[in-house]
Amino acid sequence: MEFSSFLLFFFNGLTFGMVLFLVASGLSLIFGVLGVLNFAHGTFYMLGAYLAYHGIRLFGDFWLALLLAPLLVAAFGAGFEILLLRPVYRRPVPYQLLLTFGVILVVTDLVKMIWGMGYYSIAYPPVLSGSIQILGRGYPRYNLFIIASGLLVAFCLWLFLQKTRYGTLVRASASNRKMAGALGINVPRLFTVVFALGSWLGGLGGVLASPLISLSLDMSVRIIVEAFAVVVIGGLGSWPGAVLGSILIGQLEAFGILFIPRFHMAFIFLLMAVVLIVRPRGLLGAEREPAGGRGEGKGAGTALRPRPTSPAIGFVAALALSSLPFLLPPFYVLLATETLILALFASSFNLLFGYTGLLSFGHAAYFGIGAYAAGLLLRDLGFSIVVAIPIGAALAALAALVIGFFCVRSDEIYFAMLTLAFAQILHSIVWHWNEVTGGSDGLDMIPRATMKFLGLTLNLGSISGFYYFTLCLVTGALAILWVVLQSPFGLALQGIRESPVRGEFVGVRVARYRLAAFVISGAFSGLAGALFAPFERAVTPEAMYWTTSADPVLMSLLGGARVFLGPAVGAGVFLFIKDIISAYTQFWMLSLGTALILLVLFLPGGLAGFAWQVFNGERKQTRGEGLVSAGALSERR
Amino acid sequence: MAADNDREGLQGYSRRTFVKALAGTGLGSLGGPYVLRHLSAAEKGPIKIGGIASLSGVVSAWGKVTQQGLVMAVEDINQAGGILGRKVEYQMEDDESKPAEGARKARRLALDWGANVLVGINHSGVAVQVCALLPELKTILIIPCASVPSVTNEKFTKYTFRTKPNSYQLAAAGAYRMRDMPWKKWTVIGPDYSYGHESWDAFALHLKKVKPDMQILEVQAWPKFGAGDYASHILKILDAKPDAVYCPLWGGDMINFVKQAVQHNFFEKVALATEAGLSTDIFYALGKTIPEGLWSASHGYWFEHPNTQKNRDFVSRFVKRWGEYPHVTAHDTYVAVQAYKQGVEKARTTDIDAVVAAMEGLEIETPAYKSVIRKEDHQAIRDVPWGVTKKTDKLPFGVHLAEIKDTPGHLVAQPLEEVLNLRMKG
Repeated sequence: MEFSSFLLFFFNGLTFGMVLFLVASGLSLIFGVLGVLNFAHGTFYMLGAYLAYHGIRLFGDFWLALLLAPLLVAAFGAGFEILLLRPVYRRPVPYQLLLTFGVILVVTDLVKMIWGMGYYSIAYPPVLSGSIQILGRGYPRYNLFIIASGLLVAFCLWLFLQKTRYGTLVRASASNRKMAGALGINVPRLFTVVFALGSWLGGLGGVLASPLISLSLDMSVRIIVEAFAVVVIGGLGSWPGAVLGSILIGQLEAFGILFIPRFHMAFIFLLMAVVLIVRPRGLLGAEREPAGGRGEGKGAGTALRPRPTSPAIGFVAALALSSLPFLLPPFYVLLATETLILALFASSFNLLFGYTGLLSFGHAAYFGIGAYAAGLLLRDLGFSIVVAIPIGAALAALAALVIGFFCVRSDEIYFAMLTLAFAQILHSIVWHWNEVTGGSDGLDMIPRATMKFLGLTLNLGSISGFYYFTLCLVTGALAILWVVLQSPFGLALQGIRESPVRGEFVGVRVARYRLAAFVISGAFSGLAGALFAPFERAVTPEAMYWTTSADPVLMSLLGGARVFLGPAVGAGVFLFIKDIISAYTQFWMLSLGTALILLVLFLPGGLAGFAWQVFNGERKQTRGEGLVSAGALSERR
Repeated sequence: MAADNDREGLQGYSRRTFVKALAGTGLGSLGGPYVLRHLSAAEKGPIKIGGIASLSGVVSAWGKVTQQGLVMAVEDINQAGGILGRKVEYQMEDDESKPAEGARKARRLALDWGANVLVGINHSGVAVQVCALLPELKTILIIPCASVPSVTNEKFTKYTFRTKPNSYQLAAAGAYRMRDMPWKKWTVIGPDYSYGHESWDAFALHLKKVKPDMQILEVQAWPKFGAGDYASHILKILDAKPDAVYCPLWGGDMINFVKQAVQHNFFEKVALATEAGLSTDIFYALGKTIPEGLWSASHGYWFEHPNTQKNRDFVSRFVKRWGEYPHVTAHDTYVAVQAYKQGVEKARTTDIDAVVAAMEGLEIETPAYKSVIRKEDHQAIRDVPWGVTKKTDKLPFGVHLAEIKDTPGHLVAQPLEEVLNLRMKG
């Protein structure tokens, strides 16, 4: 490779890296100081770009837009922080995640309402269009401008954080919030300022990137995962880490295209996973206090003692469910089948999340492995469905064993990011492995033959036949999960959730228990996936993408993560609400997003959790702090 | 099969039983709104067209134009007295560019809303998923946009129709047009998924055939679908010094690529042929940023061509209705609905099997073209235009496709034996 080429590739990496840096540094700053993982950070990037587009149309001037748009985004961010985030700071991380998720939906639909569905483009400012000669080769001026601006912002940020009084306060709050408050710092105001600054950076990134790219409604989703990778690799909450991480990922993108053209995305996630395993705090991250403080519950809000009445409820529910095909028209039977499958997926996820206190953000991997395995066995190898589905679940369990081995020593955000990284690697493999997985098109024409098993004959090709088949498997699986959770093993898991340290202290091998929970969870997610393949008669790589991993998180929180059937209820409500809304309006995201935000603000225990509280008169008692659940390890705090 | 029973059961489903059912399961309060919508797909009453498009997600700009074409077709048909004297209704659903959503929406439209036919789908992943469900739904799907060949080849079902040229035809026509150009060394920059690869394969295959002295470079660029950063791909291709590059990028990807390539003076050094990349969505977004001299099929239709009374009428009515020029997918969705109308009128019934039979071999007149739905694979055979970008002061975007020539449809269609062979293997 010639040196001139090398240099230009390096500049390309820097250009992309600087855009990433602007988004990621805001993300990192907000996490470092506020302890909030702002999933909606990509929307600031998107808003910045759209506002700049609007400004240029109004005033015809790029520079004015560059000045104003990020400020407007900052104002929006400040409003978001004051109105929505303040009430949830004391809540566990997953609620903040759900809230920011709701904000993504709302903002995306608002952008769609205001600017429409087309592509938009911002012209290069005239002074910066065209290219200049570097070592005899042309290179775009605008890219150099981005590099310079990014470096300038990075330098100013450093000055601000290191050399100003307010910057010192910000760092002080990042390092110890309570202490900062005790010293008389106006922490709430500081939080707002930091959040506004973070949004400003994201908005600036959007404006600067906009001449290079098209503006479209998926901008926010495209940038956020890579920004997470930057933040994780560099070190969560670490400013120099964000610089290093962005430059590293930018260069990987640039040179990866040359040396590992088809797998450079997977490579980024591999790097992310390695960093998280070897050095969880990131390359330049400092040791941090756990965000919630030691000994606090890590799961989702209020803990409820599971009551022995639950199996009876389950039995009645199963009976009611088995009569559905007689009562409902076919589409609703299909919707019920899908709900059952997703209910199992969400419940298996919740074994880890609600009961073990581990937020997996990569459960699409096990769902997808189950789906692909069952799909291949059914279609290409002619296996019977009673064999194909258990094999699918077993392979998912195997994958969970391998991946879980690396993950279970991490906590909270690190665990979430590590599981996400592994799932994205698998997604990339599935996408490119044409010969086996069908590549981007996936598998289709998955047969659903008539099943003969133990003297029973069931026509799985029919809508109701497959419904009953699903109902049996899902009920059975849920019953097993229930038994697992009631066993001493399950109680130990809940003990670990409440306090891993105490768990270790009384002799529970935390990592081993978590791994076991991970494998069980993966197996049942795989089972759900293995049912999903013949239900849809096709599997596409989408099933393994991170957006699929978000579904069980949403469902569990919606239904209530501390009630056994909460995720199942959440799955039903989620599908049903979405189905109703989208039949009436194209702006279903706005409604769903608003619903999620209201839910987080007013019903912290989820729908089923709320119902549980109403029935048991525990409403006042359980709000906020959380009771510790039953079991040998539990105690009231 | 019990699926038959399920569907028949639906047809005889009365509102009262449905209300009872809802009450019985305690869903009455929530399910109320459905009751009115739940009508059967009988032989009388309005004919129902279920639209599926990506109204959110990655390719929503293409979903928007799908909706425009469908709505305008329905309005035109109703104004002219409907189909077989029956009024036409439509319902538009958003697949979010996600296969699982597409599946649910197809099921809802077919089974709950009672669609006589489904029209739409932009994203090839969604197309593959929905086609897999068609035998279960026993509903016709007419695809006006997703152009990945496999759904009419190895994944063929008797319910699948595509009333526009597929990516094989579009790319092959490009090869015929590029035959007369001086460029010998070719490479590709395309999105790394099935459509991109199949489009390139068809182009390279045909160019080799008609221009045996062409060379394919080893250096190729396959950015991921939805990539934002093309600079390094651009440098990589420039370093390989090709004469021309084939480019199956489209939509937002194409915009990103063109904007960045212009800054690298890419088009001063390398010629470019893109099948779908230069459709009106990009002209509206980029305007004069689009350089002159880029070749494209505009995915099978450019609104200024052919310059016939019929096409001009269509375009002016379209502009009046929507305030913008018709995108290829708007035209093709309009055509898909018209094709269904013709099929039903030929069959004299909306009975699915009868309409399928009537549509096999059907000759359709689009505003621009005559085309035939090939009996064996339900793939439309139609002439494919390729033209080159030129500045103009007659259009709002300042650039348009000029020197458009059509390559005859029969010349570029994938040979039937090949298609049937693929189906045997698939």
